[in-house]
This record gives sequence, C-alpha cells and structure tokens, in this order.
Amino acid sequence: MYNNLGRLYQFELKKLAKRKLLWITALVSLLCIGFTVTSGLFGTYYVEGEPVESHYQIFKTDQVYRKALSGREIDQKLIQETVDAYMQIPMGVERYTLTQEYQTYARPYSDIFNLLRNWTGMELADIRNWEVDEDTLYMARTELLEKKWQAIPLTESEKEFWRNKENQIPIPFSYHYDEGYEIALDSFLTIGVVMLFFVAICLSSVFSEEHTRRTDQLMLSSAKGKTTAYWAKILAGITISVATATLMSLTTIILCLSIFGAEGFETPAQIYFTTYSYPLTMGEACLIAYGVLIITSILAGIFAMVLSELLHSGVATLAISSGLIILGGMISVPEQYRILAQMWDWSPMAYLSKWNVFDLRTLTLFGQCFTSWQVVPAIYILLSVVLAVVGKYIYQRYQVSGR
Amino acid sequence: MELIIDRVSKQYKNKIAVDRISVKLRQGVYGLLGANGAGKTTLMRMLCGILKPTSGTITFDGVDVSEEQYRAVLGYLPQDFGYYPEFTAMDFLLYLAALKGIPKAQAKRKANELLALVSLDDVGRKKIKTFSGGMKQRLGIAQALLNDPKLVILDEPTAGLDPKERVRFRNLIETLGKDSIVLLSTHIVSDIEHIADQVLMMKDGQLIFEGKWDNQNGDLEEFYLKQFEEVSDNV
Repeated sequence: MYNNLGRLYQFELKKLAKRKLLWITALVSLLCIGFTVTSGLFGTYYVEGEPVESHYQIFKTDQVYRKALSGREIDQKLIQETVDAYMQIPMGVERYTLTQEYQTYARPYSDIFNLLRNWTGMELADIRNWEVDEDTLYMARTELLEKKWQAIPLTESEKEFWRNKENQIPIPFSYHYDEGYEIALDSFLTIGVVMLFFVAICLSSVFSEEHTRRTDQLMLSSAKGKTTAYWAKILAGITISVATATLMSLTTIILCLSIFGAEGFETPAQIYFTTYSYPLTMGEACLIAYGVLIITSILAGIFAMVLSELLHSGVATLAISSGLIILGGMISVPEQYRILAQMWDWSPMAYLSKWNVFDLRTLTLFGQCFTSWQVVPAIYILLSVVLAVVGKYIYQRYQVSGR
Repeated sequence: MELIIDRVSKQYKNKIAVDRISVKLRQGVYGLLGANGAGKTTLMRMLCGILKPTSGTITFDGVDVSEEQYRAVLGYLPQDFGYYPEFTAMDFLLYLAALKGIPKAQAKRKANELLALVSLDDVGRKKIKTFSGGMKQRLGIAQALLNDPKLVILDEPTAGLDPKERVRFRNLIETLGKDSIVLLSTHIVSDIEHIADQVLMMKDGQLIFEGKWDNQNGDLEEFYLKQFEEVSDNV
C-alpha cells in the first residue's frame, strides 16, 4: 500500500483551485493592494478650498528634491544647509508652506527638517534660534530614545540591549531616497489584513465541506483517509496561504519599487523608524516585515482549517476568523499593562503592523533579549505545529452519525 | 476470510441504535434487511470504522476495525455519499484510489476498468455535476471496488438504478461474493432474494434473523412486511 501523500496533496490543491471563491477573493485582494499602494498619488491638496497641487505633482516634486539629497550624510553641513534654507521663510507667516520662500529654498530640505523636528521636538521658531550642532542633534535623539524606553516601560536589560544596538549604528546617518521601501512599510498593515481575510475566506471550509458534502464517509473509511489525507489537506492549505502571502508581498514590493523607485535599500531604518535602534536598512526592514507576513499566513491558514474541522461549518469558521481579525484592529491594550499589551500586540490578529514587528519590547530568554521579529515567527511556527497536531486528533475522532 | 462482529452496540443518549449484535461473516453475499431506523446504517458505519461502537469489537481476519490494514481491504458505498461536483468521474476515482493507497499506474488502469464496468467509460471526462442520480450511484459503486476489496459494504446500493442497471448490478455482486464478503442493505426484498446467500434481518437494533432463507421459511417479503407492520403498529 502506498502512502500517496504527494498525489493526495495534488488533489487537495485541485479542490481548492476549483473554487470560484478563491479566484474572486484573489482578484479583490490584488485590487486592494493596488489601491493601497497607489492611493497616496490620487487626489488634490487643497488650502482653504482652493486646489494647490495634485498629490501626484507633490510626489514628483519631492522625489526630485529627495533624490538630490540622496547619499549625503546627515552631518553638520547638511543640518546647517537645512536650517539656512528654513531661515529664508518670512517670520510670522501663518502657513509657511504656502510661501514662495518655502517652496524655493526650504522644501528641498523638508525631509531633513522633519527629522530634526522629530528628534529634538523643536518647531520652526525654535530651529531659527538653534545653534546648529551635529552632536547636539544626535544627543537629542539619544534622549528621545531613553524617554521612549521609560514610557513603554522597558526593563533594564532591554534598555541595555537597545543601547548596545544603538552603538552599532554608524553616525552620522546617511540619507537616501527610499520612498519605495517607505510606501511598502506603510502598506504593510493593510496587506496583512487583506492576507488574513483571504486565508479565512478560502480555507474556512477545507474540512467542513467534506462533512457538509458527505464525502467524509468515503474519506474516513479509506486506508489513507484518517492519516495521510489529513496532512495532504493541511499541506495544501499551507501552500495556498504561503503562496498567497508571497504573491501579495511580491506584488506590493514590486509595485512600490516600480512606482516610487527601487533605490534606498541601504537607508538606515532609523530614518523611518525614529526610535528603533536595531541596525537594519530599509530594504532589510521590508524583507523582515513581509517575511513575517508570510510566516503568519501559515498560522492563520492552519487556524482556519482546524477550526473548520472543529466546528464542521465554513460559515461559523469564517465568522470567528473575521471577528478575530476585526478585534485585532479595534482593541488596543494600554502600554503600561506591559505583559498584557505585549501578548495582545504579538498575537496573530494584531501583530501585522510595522510597530509590532519592529517593537522595542523584547522577549528575554536565558538572559538574552530577542526582538519581536526574531521570536514571534518562531512562536508562530511552533503554534502552527501544535495546532496541526491537535487538528489531526479532532479529525481522527470524528464520528459519522445522524443524517 | 472472516469478519467477526462481537457484541457490538451503539447507544445515543437514551436510544440504543444497535444492540449487542454478534455475527460471523465469511465469503459470500449477505443481505441486510430492516425497516427505517432498525440500525442498518449505524451497523454498517461501525463496520466501516467511521462510527465507534459503544461496546464490542469488529475484526477482519484478526485486524481491528480501527486499523489502517482493515480499511485497506474495505470497499464502502454509503447510503447518501457525497462527491466533488467540479471533479470528473475519472478524477473522482483517481482521488479515491489515492485515498485507498493504490499506486498511480494501477489506479489509472483500475479506474478505466471500473468506469467500463459501470458503463460510465464514455463520460469519464465529464464533471460529476452533470451526472444523473443513477450515474452518480454507479460511480459510487465503482469507487467501492477500486481496491479489489475483501470486505464490501453497500448501503442501499440499488437506490437510483433503473431496472436494467439493477440486474447488471446483481450480477456484479454475485461475482464479488465469490472472493469477498459482501454485505448489502436494501429495502427491496427481491434484490436480497436474487443476490444474497444469507439474510440478516434487523429490528430495533437487534438481529432478528440470520441465516439462509429458503422456501421452508416461507416468503421472505411476507416475513419482512410482517416485521415492518409490527413496527408501524408500535409507532
């Protein structure tokens, strides 16, 4: 007698691929992704009811300015240029961004100016009076980090961990045009939710359908029906989850890089994540985030499939899965309840946001701190295995009765 | 070749669906008769390992019903079996063959052979959703025979078949009974009279008759109807 896992796996994939729902959901998901990535380019910027510039024009103008600064270090010289440029803006203007001086002199440096503002907390008026100093700027960043760590609150070992990581980042930071990667990270939350819904919709009836169609009798009475068939279904479901998550991730990244530009892979992630101290580049951060999304799809898929076997109802499974996804977006546990908040934020329904993937809270194991993106995927894989084994137990114990 | 059903019972809360049935089946065709609710389908499901008995054991040549080796020699046609509407008849048989652990090349050969046997060879590439009830039933019979089963359990196999198909089916069962244990349930007494070597009759979860039915026992249909009437009277 042959195991036939490969052939059963092919048939399970065929069953899934024959569902119209899968293709319709895939199409809707791709449209959502396309819209999410490009939505910032549509529409017009209005001031007091008057159209000023289209969003596309704003993007194109800023792109030229940002590319002009690309490759430069954020050092004394660049900071001075930025402050000098902003000094050109006339004083006492209510909306300085509408002045000709801002458009001509300051706007090309707006990215650097925003960084100064974020790190130091100074506004335009303060910056005008600021004696430009590179060291003071980077010290302000360090103070900002310490305040943030205190507020979360991080433990002493976590603070030490991040201080060590911070020391590994070369100073001064170098600035690069990295719009493609920034948009990819901005879109991450939406893509994550789309992926979770896709998996819930397409896999919620993998097992329940066998019961409602009454094919379960033929399956469970055949030699491989109680063992190999279960794993073939699980593997096919995982394949659909992973393939979809990969396709969604690739579509997002390719769209972002082709529309907004592929340059900027090497940009320090700290330019984008102001208070994150792990020495990563923007390109690496993108790869990590979307890698995490793909691993989460495995857990989401197995969860939907096992739930469908437990409930014997695709609709109930979909309702519960959707409810959990919505809850994940709606509920937020205050940071001061550190353990509870961390557990909730790292749970699969809430985890897929850039702030949780690049979380400052860590998990300390054997005296070592592990970042969220290092430890959560491993936990998800472990949970997936446990869930799959529990599912097999439920599946094998199923009794065909009634009807 | 021996199927031993030893004091098998199935209880649902207050209802005993199958009540301490013990019987030994050897090569041949067994007809299982009984009114609706007599426990036929419950017994058959337990014999197929898809419903666990509350008590008792079922073994085929010493192999317990819960084991894979047991299911490997089993061919089962449920009373109301499901199918995959988007699958072709050939896909369906190949999928079931994979479930039964049959190697690919053998599965293909066997599927073609069985499609011809049940006169579905000309529609083997058509989707099952386009099939009539009788065609689906014939496909169900074909799938039950994919693994050359030693134990064939057929729950209402003639339902949906036209008279011509039924005669062909009887002949097929007769052939199967030469090498296997065939247990079939039906409401149609004439099917049993024509095919079955032995009759098993169930009432209220119990076996009320077991053995060969010959003219000395009187008319089988009359006996069966008498039992059925008693059930109706009780209701």
